[in-house]
Amino acid sequence: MKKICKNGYKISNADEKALNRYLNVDFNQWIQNALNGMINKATKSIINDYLELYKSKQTESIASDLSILIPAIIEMPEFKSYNYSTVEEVNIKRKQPSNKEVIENGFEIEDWQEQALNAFYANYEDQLYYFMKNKVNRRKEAFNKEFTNVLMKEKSNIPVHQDDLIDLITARSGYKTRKQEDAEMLAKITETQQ
Amino acid sequence: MANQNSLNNRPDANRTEKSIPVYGASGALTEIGPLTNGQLAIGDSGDPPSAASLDSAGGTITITPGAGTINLEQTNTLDVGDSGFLAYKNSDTSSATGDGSVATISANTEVFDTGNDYNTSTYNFTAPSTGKYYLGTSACGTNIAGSSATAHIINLTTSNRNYQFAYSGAAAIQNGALSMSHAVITDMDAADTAFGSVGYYGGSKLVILTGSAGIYTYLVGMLMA
Repeated sequence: MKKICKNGYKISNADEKALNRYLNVDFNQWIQNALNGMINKATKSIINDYLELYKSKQTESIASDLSILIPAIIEMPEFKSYNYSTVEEVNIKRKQPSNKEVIENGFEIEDWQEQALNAFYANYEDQLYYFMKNKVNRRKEAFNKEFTNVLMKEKSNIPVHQDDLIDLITARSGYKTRKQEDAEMLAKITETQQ
Repeated sequence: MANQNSLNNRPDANRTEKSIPVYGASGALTEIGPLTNGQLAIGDSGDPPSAASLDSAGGTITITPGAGTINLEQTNTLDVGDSGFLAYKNSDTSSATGDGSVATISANTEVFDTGNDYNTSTYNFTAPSTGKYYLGTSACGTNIAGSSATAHIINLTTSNRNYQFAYSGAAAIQNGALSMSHAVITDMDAADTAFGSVGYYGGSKLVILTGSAGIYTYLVGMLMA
């Protein structure tokens, strides 16, 4: 087993509120899902691109266990690292301190999964941290856009800073997170059908 | 030449190990560094060169400094159609729903997966980049007790939103079967996930979620913009 993202990742209260407006799972679970997606993409790319070559070099049947197959493929002299990266600069606008740890203990992955990530991504930890930062940034922008429109329609004052706008809106009575809205909507639909 | 030679003439103990000598103001010999991994001596028309690292302000180049090396890789940018998939459920699942239980659209067989972003074990699609995605799903349930059925719901769930389509009552059920479809164009952030699910309500948990190579129950997606 390998432990990754040992340095953790901290978000602010406003970050968390903006995420909860849209996410149907906790942010920690979202990150775990993102990591699973990265492992899946790396593994499938390696298998799709190199399995036939690997098979052509064997005389008997080959193991289908990925923990055996992935390291064996990566060890082939013909294998070339992909150096895949979609990392871009992300600037999160924050007024509040980032003091909420969301991945305190990092994540544990299998050795072969770490090998696959390492062979596919230019830097898999940088990639995952980019996904986290991008997600926070995108949801804060989405929150800002959604509720700036609400405030404009109400002819209310609009806080200049995103964090102030998030605090203002989430303090309102009747404000709901995504989880609350989903649960209420499901209850309404099933109740009216019975 | 006194200035130029001043550094050269220093005793070894006064030179900084691993630094680079440069001519500074008035031609005085000085030094920069020692340079850390990936650093370069970068020129400045108004001042002597200084130690600095390469940067990609637009984030289009991934820079990986090492000991004596700098690796530059173009950041992957994805275009329309660079990520897309079609996967279907290849066999029936008995007692999948019927009592309001929600069953995931377990599309375990791929027709295609451009970009390798669909997972046939978790039935999740992971968006490789932020963008607009087309998502569609269809589910075929059989063995539905028409007389007691109340509602039938099909969901497309992304990390950001849940898109739900509900059918009511027994009218739509034909010979104990009901096929439902749902499609959206939705916003997804990089590394967001999407999956489909279905629930039949009002009866017992006896509804079969149908699967076959005829592609009755499936999930499809494509990067649109």
